[in-house]
Amino acid sequence: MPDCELTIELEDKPGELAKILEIIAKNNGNLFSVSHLREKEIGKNIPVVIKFQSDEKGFKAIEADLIAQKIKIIKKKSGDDEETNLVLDFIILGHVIDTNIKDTIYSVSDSSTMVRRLNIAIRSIEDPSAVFIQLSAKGRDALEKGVKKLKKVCMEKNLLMVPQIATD
Amino acid sequence: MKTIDLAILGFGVIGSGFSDVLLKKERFLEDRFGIKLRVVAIGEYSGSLINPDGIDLKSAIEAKKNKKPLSELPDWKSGVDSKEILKTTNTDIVVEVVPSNINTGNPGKDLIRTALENGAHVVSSDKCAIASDFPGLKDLASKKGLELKYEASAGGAMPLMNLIHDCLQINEVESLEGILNGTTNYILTKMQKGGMTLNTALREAQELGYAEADPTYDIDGVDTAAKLVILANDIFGLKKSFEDVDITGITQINKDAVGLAKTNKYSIKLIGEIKEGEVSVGPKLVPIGHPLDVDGSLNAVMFETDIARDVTIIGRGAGGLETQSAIFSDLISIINDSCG
Repeated sequence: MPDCELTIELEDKPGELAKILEIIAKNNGNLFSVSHLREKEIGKNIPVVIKFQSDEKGFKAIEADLIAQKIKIIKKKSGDDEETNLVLDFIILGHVIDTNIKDTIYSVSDSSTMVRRLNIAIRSIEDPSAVFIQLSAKGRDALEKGVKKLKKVCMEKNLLMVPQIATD
Repeated sequence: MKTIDLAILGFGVIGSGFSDVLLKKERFLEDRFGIKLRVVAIGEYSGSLINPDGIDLKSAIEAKKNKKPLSELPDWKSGVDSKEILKTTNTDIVVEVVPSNINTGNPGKDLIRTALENGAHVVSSDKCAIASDFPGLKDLASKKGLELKYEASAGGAMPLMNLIHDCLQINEVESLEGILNGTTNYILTKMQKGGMTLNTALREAQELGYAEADPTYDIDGVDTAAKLVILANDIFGLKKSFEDVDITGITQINKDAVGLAKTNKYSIKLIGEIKEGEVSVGPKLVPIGHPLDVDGSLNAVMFETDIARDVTIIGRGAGGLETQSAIFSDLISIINDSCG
């Protein structure tokens, strides 16, 4: 069976990891190790790297079960096949709602990039708002493309983009 | 014992602070380095203190502390300004610590040029002067076979350039990012942890002496940009001037933005960055607990290098006392290397 690796985001609370390990066991995965990347916390979540052995059918079943449980998979690797989902956070300031927030979201989204999280702080219709956006992309190139698109939209709509510093 | 004659140009917070530390560390400098630093001139706008046998620094510092004019002191020469001193007084090293204009770089730029043309090494804390004509000033120093050092001009007490040149020699520096302005960091910290608005935090910073009466250089990102120009030229060898820096300040950052960042485990910081040949300054989200997530008026800079990987330095970016650490570091280095 090929070596497999999943990097997922788990909420930092008791019982979360047990659910994941149960999914791996149920699909005949042979667990090697579990590492919590606490230094790379994402909001209230912690990236967790799980290494195990599984055949192709079992790996696909594990992936499907995780998605069904709404578990975010950052990176997956089965044998030599590897796919990474990268995320980057932003706060956008200005009249984000008035300048058509739906259009802003759609303009950065495509088959490999999407807005994964959105939080809005707004005082009144007249006041500028603050919007937290998390961009998720399949790989570095897609993420860079998404960031460029967001930057362009913010310039066109006179919004201030406050990006996350690069942490890797 | 080696006696080195100095001229101090500018006797404000930094100039008088330099004199203060010089007096306090006189014995230390003699014992540790075998050098005696003798200040033969202090240049001000309307005149200068000049004495080839050494100025009475204690009296000058007392006058400054008591807000009395230096013109009451016996060594005062009215009408002899800083430039005149450089032409007429024999000095080994000039300590240039005047405040200059960001657009023209003067009066500091002219003073540094005059000092070099008259054969003196220069130590400067004047970021506007150095940033305004980095290649020109360095070329002149090189042609004259003199040293021009300016560690205090970008990062205050933090040894950024000397760290790279003297301790990380084998490394190629790939990028730099960090907080280079204590005033904005103080304001953003107060917004995040004290729930203040930007204006209230700014007023408090002014009351505590962190921010100038006109704080636009700080909050508009201009101060950080000037420091980045120096670091880009010195560390990265980039021919960048102030106009090349993409600048965004913190004036649009409000309580909502700070609160939203905090909810998602970030602090908002004014971050200067040099990466892939580009120089920029603007507000960024820094994960809480990250090495650059420092509070209050602290500065922090992270270098990404090929061998040592990430190196972070945290310290005081300004201050009459703290800045002397960098000025004396440059001074001692010049004396050891070039005042044989």
